Amino acid sequence: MAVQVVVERDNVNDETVIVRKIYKQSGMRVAADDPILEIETSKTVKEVRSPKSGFLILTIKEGDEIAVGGRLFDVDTNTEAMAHQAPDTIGDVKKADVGRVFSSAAEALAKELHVDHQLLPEGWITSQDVRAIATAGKSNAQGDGEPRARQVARPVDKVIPKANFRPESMSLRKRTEVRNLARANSHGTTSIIGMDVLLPGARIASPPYLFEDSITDVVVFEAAKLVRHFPDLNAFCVDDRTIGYFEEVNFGISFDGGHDLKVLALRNADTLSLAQIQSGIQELLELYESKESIDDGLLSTSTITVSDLSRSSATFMMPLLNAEQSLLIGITSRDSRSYTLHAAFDHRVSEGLQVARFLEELRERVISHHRPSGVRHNSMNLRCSACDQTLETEAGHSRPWLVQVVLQDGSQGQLCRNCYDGW
Amino acid sequence: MLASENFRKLASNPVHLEESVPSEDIRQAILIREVESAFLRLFSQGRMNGTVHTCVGQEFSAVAIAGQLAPDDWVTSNHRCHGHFISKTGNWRGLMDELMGFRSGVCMGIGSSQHLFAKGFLSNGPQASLVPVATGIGVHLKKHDKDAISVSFIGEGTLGEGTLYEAFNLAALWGVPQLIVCENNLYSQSTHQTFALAGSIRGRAEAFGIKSFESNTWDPAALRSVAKEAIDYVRARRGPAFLVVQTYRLNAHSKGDDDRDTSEVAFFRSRDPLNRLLERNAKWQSIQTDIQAEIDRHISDSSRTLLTASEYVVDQLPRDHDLARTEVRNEKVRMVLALNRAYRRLIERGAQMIGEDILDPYGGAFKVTNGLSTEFPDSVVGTPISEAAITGVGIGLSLMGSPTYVEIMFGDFVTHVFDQVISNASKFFHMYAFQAKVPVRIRTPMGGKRGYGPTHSQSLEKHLVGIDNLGVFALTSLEDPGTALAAIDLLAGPAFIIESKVDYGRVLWQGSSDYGIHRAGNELGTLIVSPLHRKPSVTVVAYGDMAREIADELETIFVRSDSVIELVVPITLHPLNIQPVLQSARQTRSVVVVENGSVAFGIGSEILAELSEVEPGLRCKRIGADAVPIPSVLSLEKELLPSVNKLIAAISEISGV
Repeated sequence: MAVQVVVERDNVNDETVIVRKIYKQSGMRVAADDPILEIETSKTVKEVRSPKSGFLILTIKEGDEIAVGGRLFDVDTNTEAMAHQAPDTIGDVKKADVGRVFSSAAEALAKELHVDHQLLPEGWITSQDVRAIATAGKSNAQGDGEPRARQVARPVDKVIPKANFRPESMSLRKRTEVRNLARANSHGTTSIIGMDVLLPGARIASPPYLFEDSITDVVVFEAAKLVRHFPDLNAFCVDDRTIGYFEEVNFGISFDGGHDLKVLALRNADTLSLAQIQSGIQELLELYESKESIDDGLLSTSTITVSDLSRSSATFMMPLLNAEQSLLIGITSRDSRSYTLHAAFDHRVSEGLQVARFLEELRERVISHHRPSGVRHNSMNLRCSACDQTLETEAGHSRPWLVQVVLQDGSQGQLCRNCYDGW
Repeated sequence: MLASENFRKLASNPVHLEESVPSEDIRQAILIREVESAFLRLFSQGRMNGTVHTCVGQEFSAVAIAGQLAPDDWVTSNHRCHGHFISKTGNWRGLMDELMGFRSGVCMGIGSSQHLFAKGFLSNGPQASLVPVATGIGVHLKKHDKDAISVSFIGEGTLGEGTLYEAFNLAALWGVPQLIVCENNLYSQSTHQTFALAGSIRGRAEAFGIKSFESNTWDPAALRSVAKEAIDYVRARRGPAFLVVQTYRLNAHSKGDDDRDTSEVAFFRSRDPLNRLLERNAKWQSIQTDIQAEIDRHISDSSRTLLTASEYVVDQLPRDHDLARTEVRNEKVRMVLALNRAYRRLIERGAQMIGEDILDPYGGAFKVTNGLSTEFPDSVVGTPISEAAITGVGIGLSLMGSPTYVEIMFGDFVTHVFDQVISNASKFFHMYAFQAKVPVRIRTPMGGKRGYGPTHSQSLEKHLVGIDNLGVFALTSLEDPGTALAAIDLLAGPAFIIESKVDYGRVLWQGSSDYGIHRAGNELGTLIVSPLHRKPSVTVVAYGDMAREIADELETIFVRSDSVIELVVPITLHPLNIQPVLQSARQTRSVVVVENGSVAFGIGSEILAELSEVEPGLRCKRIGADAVPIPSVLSLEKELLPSVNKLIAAISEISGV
């Protein structure tokens, strides 16, 4: 006998739903209450669970649009496999949650400590697990002078920022990662990747005084545009299964006079020109130093942040992410040509390779604002594979580049302008 | 004292040995007597191991009977076996070395006087113990050899042992070519026959329809002729036979323990045919002197090399120290059917199977052997209710090279087979200096939970583990038993296979979404049921049906005990491989051992002892059945026997919850 599961009506508007994620394969054995798939309505994303134990019969695929009332899957309960089912189980086993099996002690403790079940990972949950979550919550709670009656600890603060965002459901893989990160507890969920930026020379266009011997303005300028191609870096972790993607790119500039660290937002930074960025930062600095009260909108609407320590002699930093962001770029420098970008990112939202690519691209863009000087860089030694001219000699021309080509033997080479044109 | 009077009468007829008996027989008799006398001498000189039971006065029984056997015939004997041994094998030198304890002895000095072995001969101390073994040898000879027979020497004292009558019954029922010779020397140790024997001796055999013969050692010629008649009868496959030989031992039972009336002893000594011959016949006196000299020469020339401990302390038990991992995946088949097809395969490979009610259409009390007797009529033998004897028969068959599976219908009835297991199966390999292999497999279902009551529900494995050289294996429906059985079938030594009644009906375990199962080690290794998504915090060791019961309730156990367990299931109880348990225990630091029987001095004790020897500081608990006979009331039985409830309580206890 097969039990059919159909799309239930979620709201008056939707006539269809979209199948977002399928967790199981057709033919698998499933238990009652096992989550089978995820569907998206206009209002929300929700899980659909198996009503019974048995074998799953599933023919739809991810991305399919199913009408309300249409079939999602069947569960075949009439199988010999049922013969194996444990006979009279001793005592009654209550499944507290879908995908979670609480020991009796865990269930009781969770009740006693008012631990939200949603905070707990899937799988089997012991009283120790419950206690660990409860204890973590205690240490996370900001001391606001009052003892909290409810010791609720969340791996993620569900603080809703002022910037608008679009929530998206995390992939199953990411959710598992989030759980593991929370458990690993190494340095939270923030990871850092560094990248050196070696400037070839001075700025092509001389910057205002504030940004002499600095790359912060171009970093903000380029990064603001670049995150449109890396949306995960302009987002934040809403909870252990949802990522919020910001609609605007509001670049937070970190100001620290030694007494009062503030991050002020340069709103819609991706729409601004370099000059506008420069003047914008200038204005924020003046605002900060004026010590006047600062508009709430500037303080809490940042979606990413930059923290510039290039004026100090620091060579390394591990910036801390703000709660509702997933990227913070720290800048240190060794000398006026040598900088390092330290990208702190939320591993729940993005990943190392992605951030590394972002930084590579950012670096190239930052470098592109600088002209090579007489100082020999490695790149200046590059020679045209055809005429052996170096890049240095190209520097004076209007098109001071070498084109990178793949030669007949598969190796890479360069062609100077003349030789390229000649080809 | 009617018997004594008869004996005196028999001894009173004058017989001239040299006229009626072949010289070779006389010489052999003298040799036996002189060897026995030498033993007594050596004993008083302190050069002998253990004690001796000399057959002085009874020599002609050995000579006339064992001396007329063929090389392919087999003899079993008892404590007073020297004469039989010398007559059958001729190896008096090996016998002397054996009793002197030398490596050059028949059994390297291990067995000494009562425990001898050679091709065609074996002896053992416990009374009647070897008789069913000899029956088994006879069964084998009947199947494979047209002529050879099996001969068992017993004393009249042996007529008190029950196993003897089980063997009579089997031998007669199956037409086994077995000749049982009862040397009636009037005294069992210190007890006169009058106080030991009721009824007629020959009548005992005749009650089973066994042809009986009678003779005595005072007329060796007549004895020779009667013996030939009996031997020929058996050799012609006309059935088993029983030969009573009246005789008298001139020496003490063993050494110095003779309370018999001295005048009686003196009477028989004077009537002893050999004594009378040697008194008056110079020719035979000189032969006697020559023999004595030869014996003395041997004694002084004998190499005095001794067996070392390292040579001796070995066994045939399977020990696999590799923990190679094999995933376990089971078919959806019931355990009883899986067993049936596994045993079918073994029979195809040449195994024999014997047991009570195992023939079709009944097919065994639990249907494990269903269909096998129809398919393999020559290999599957149904037996009367004689657990001890059929085990002995199985041992005899195995000794002769036919690995035999003996079914004991209920594990409770292994009480009947302890003598065969401990005196014979367990000992032959060592006692006979590695010359004998006994690949006998005794299989039986243990366990309760069916309301069968105190004598049909027991789990007696704790009384079987730890017996020398006996492997003990517990099958479980967590894995196809065919895997373990195929390996057990290859063992050279004896094995005990424990099945489980309640497990018979279960479909082999189909796994769990939260746990994986694999085997660590070879086919006789350990099953490990491990949690897939969590680290376990408690190691639970269980076997047989309890292992399966626990595996079926993993989630319940978790919910109620707040602990994630790892279940370690040894297939081999003895010799136990502690490594898989240790590996798990090192992680969890908490161990609960579940056994089916009561806990005191049981399986759990061994496991925890072995663990504590290498890994101190573990939290441990043993659980099992309450130490009372198992009641039939189902609810009470459930409460008293090991259960998931008891396990949960134990886990909670050691977790400090």
